[in-house]
Amino acid sequence: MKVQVSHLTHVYEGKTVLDNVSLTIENASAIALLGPSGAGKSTLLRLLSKIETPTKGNIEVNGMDVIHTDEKEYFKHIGFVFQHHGLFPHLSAFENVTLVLEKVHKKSKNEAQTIASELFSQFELCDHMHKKPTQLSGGQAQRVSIIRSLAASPDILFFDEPTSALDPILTKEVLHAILKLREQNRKFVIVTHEIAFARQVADVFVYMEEGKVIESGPIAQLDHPNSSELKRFLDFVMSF
Amino acid sequence: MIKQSRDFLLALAIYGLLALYIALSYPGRNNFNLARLWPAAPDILDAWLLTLYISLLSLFLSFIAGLILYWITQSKFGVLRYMGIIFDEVVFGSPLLVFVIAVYYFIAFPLGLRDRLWVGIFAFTLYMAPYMKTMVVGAMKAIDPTQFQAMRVLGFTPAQQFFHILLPQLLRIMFPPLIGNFSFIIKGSSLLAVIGVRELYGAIDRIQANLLLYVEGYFLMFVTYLLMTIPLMAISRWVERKISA
Repeated sequence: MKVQVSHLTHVYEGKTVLDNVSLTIENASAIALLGPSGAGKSTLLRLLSKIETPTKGNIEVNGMDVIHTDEKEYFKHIGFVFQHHGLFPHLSAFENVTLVLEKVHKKSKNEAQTIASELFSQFELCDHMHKKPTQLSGGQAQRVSIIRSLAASPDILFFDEPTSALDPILTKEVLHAILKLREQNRKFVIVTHEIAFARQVADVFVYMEEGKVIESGPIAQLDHPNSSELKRFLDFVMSF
Repeated sequence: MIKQSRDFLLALAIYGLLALYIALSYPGRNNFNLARLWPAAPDILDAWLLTLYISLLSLFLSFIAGLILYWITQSKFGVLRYMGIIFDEVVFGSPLLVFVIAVYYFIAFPLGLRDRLWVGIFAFTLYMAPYMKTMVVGAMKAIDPTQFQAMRVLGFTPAQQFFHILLPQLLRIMFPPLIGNFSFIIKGSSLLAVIGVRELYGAIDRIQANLLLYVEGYFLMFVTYLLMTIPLMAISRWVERKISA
């Protein structure tokens, strides 16, 4: 995966949430966006995934000009997992996945069901696939949401703090699912506060503060940070 | 449950006693004879069915009009948004009776539309559209915002988003207020009599004048409207319970 961002600025409701960010990451499998709340991590993720359009600057993901590529075309290449699962409540977990495959990707009913069944089995959710989202735990719903994003085999998955609304036990469930993606060599970018998890799952990190990229590099660099800001952040996070 | 039933029957009994008191103390009680309306029964049944027809059609058309008004008021074009807002204000500021008369005399008449039934349905559709729109706005707000983003990123077209994802949810959320609006339409349809539509009120009004059975006529009106609206409310409560279960 290649991500190139140049002079990216984003102003939201009069506040500069990203301030002239430039960044180049090549040959990454999984990128972790780290930093305190309000650092601009989620904004960067939403701009990379084209959910929002930046005020200024350029973004390239895997050679695609994100800003100028047609939205429908770009979304064919990515999947997005939100903080809250966003499953459609009138459909079962299984139908949430097959609907996308049938309507958007024009798979036949049989094909869609085969793909969905395979994914539910991989993520150990077969016992829950006919339940409605309200009957699932937060962790199960988030895993179904991962399956739904994965169904059309996107090139890159974006995760926006997928465990922020979950308790520690449910968080583990979701993190295991993401770890599985890593084992399958899927490419993804994740915003997370779980530093230990980021170390385990990502090969590259980007550390942000107040709308700026402070430091980025291979994940092992977290053991020997270059910047005082990242060192302070890690010391603080690891002190509990 | 038993206590609830007992309380309900008690409340019903109190109203029954009140009705009995009114009946017994009514000056013309000896002349009150519902059976004398019997010869007009076929006309009354026709009018009852016509009221139901007008109401169902107005419900359907005003729901569509409400959706269109919703899209207009959400439009990125300021002119359309303001057109929607102005229409809302005009309707919310007008009594239904005045609105029906205004549509008949100021829109239908100059345009040469003479079919009173269809003009009535048209007036009702226009009048109910902002109420339906308000209902859609409320229902849309009840849908988790993440779903809208998810629909977009997953690649659904606007039509697929609406028909496969939003509409099934909206109908569930809107069912109770929709029934409320239907009941309002049934009750309001009586006002179409002013432009000469022979629906239930209009028909009974005419029968009262022909047979000189005013009290019986009013009584029948009262009961026949309730025969439509009370079962509707019961269905609405039943469906609401089913949905929330």
